Amino acid sequence: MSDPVVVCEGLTHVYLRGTPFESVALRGVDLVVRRGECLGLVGPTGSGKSTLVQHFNGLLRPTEGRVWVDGVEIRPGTALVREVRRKVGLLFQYPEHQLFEATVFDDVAFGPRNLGLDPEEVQERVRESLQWVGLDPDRFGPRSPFSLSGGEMRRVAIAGVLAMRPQVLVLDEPTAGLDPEGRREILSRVRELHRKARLTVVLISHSMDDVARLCQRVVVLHRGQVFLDAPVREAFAQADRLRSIGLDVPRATDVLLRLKAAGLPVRCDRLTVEEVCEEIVRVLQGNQRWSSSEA
Amino acid sequence: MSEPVPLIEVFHLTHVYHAGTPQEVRAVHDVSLTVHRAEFLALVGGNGSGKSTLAKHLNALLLPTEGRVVVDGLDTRDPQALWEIRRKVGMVFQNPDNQIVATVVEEDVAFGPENLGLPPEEIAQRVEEALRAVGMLEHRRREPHLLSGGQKQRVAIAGVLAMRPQCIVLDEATTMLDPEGRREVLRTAHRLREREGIAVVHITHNMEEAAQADRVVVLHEGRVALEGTPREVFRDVRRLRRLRLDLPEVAELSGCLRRRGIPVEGQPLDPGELAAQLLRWCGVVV
Amino acid sequence: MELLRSLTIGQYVPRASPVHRLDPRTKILATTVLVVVVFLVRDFRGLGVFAAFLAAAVALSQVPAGFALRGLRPIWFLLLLTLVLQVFFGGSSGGTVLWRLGPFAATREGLVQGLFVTARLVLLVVSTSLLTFTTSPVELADGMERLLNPFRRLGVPAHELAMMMTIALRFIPTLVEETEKIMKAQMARGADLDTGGPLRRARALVPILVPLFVSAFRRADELAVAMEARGYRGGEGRTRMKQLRYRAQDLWAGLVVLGASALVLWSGRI
Repeated sequence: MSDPVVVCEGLTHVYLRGTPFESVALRGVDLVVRRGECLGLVGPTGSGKSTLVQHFNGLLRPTEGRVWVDGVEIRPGTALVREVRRKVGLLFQYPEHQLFEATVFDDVAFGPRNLGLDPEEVQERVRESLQWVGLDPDRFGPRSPFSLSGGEMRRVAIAGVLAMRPQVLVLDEPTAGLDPEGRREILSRVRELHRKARLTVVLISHSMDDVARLCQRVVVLHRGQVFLDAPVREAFAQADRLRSIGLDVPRATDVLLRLKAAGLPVRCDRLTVEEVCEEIVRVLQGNQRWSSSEA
Repeated sequence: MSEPVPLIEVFHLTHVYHAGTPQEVRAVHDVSLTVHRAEFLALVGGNGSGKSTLAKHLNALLLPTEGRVVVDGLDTRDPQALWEIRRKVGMVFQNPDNQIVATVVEEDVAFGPENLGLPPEEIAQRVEEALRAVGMLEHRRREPHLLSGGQKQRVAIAGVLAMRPQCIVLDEATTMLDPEGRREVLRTAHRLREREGIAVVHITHNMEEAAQADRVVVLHEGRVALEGTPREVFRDVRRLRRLRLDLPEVAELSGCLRRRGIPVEGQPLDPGELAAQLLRWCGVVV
Repeated sequence: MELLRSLTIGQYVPRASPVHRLDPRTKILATTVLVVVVFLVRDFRGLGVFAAFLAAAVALSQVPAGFALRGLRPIWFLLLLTLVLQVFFGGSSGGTVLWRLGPFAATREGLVQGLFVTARLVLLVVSTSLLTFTTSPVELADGMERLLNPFRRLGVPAHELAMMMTIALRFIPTLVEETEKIMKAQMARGADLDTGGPLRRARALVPILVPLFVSAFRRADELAVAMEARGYRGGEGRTRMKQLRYRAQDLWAGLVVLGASALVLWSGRI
């Protein structure tokens, strides 16, 4: 097992404490994100996912509990917070709404320039980041971000965070609102960043299919608490528990669950269409009726 | 089922944005299409397929560059018919925050009927009916910004409903919602179709949602690429791939099983259907 | 940053008091009368009567007294400045000198004048905030529209003003939330919003203001299309679901306010 990169211990967050608008977003969350893993963070709307990840880079301070990043405890208000923000890159929902510069190049350069890097270094980072998200720096760099398609704008926003050279990349619903083509593009870029750039990835998503395809481990939040923390395959095999809080399982896995409920000896820890197909073929071939009808 | 009666007819519609300038874009190209009364039609396609441009022609928010759109006998180019067309065909848009006008739910629903110049008592009655029909009556006095995405979209649907329309166009109305919100909105739309006989045109790029429609029209680069029942459309796997669209996962699984020699019949679109077929196959009684 | 979330506009205090139940038009007119009266008062006795009437109105409205005075907080500096300036320069030259501060002399007449003007300001602020405490923004917009309606022929855009106010109120929470999100997103990219001189800080706002404007324009665009799709074509031919009706209580309230005003203005002469 690799070493932990983000650790939360007894993390509780209360918004507007002491006012009539007080609301508890997280209660006593213990969580470890390990270096190099891809962690899926799922849960119904309002379960505290966004609040949780904002603690990873010091944008929110714990009401109670503690948070460590890369071995250092985050204490807001100190210079350390800036250091932590560099280590944990956070992408909010619809991140293209944060673009503001006249050119793609300048927008991606915003982060590195805030770090006070010299122009050559900035240039190098911008080019590298744009390449990671599949945008040619020479072609896209001089263009206005507002002239791009929705999917391209979103990739520019991701590049803007990558240019900080974070160790951990947190993506909040990175595919929301995109068409199938745009979604595939973003997901394959994220997969590449995880596998080739060896980034630790935390993926917040409503799409169980996306989590199933990308992540090794899934943490389910429900009403501000950790409801389930398990390897992806184990998690989706517990369809009843997930459904009890209004979450889906991948629809192909759902077919297996129904076969199992009818008494067929199928394994339900299969996630992708190909895996499920394989499993059904395996079980049906072992089935008497199937063999006899073949003959 | 009785013979379908046409409600909206689109004849050879072409729409060009910024005509005669260097930014000229031909968004819709020679599209002909009929929306029938009380049908649930899904209009799917990727970004830039022209689906939203087409949708905005259905209630005269855009007018054809070439061709004609006729709503219940009224031509959308006729300025006299404009407000009657907008009453007959209501629209719900993508961003729930950017279509709610008032600071109280019931006053927002009243916005449309107020524009029609109806007497106050009738407006109040329609508002109540509309909010009840979408299951939001208990939230009538709440502030819209405190509602969930799905609830906001249901308020928007109620706002359209209070105009007593014949057709509701959901212009990517589920795109920004979470799965729960999507389910709420679709359930509401299906119920209105069944109970009130209102036609629904659902514009989406979510194939699982399109699979629940009576009929699917696939747009690609401004033209109709495929048209038919969901079962017909989703059988054409290769074609959909070329159009850069997804298949519903169950359709994809059925295709995979067929390739492995398991003769899945028809085109199951939901997990229950496929599982039942497989079970019948191995002789398990369900 | 969390403070943005608790920000409420208009300071409406929902209660079921008789003042709340009045027609918004009555309250707008009454407040206008009171504002005029407060400027016409010439003596302390009049101010005293005014203050007593206002205190009674606040009590009747069930708005906590402390809350009613909170409207003064943002302007305490202005009040203090008024008082000080009046003390030193308010009295006519040659009044009774109380004490000196360098070349400036504080006079007894100045002190009296200063207290008078400050008291007048306080009463002005409390009267107008009583209107916003007891009338929801929606009612206010409605009341304004209907009061201005007769002046439409003179070119007063009554409906447009009310619609603008409603839409502004509707979008304030949305834009506040959005500002918070954009600030956080830029901070996550290393933006420093709280250090440096004024110029640096002003420049640090660009990455927040540009996306905010872009989004506000997009919202305005989409809202315009949505309103058009719902048959909106301006105020012409439009009806309203909620009707405003003057009732007996409005007549009584009007009479009470007029009576109190008369008492305030003539109390000095009795």
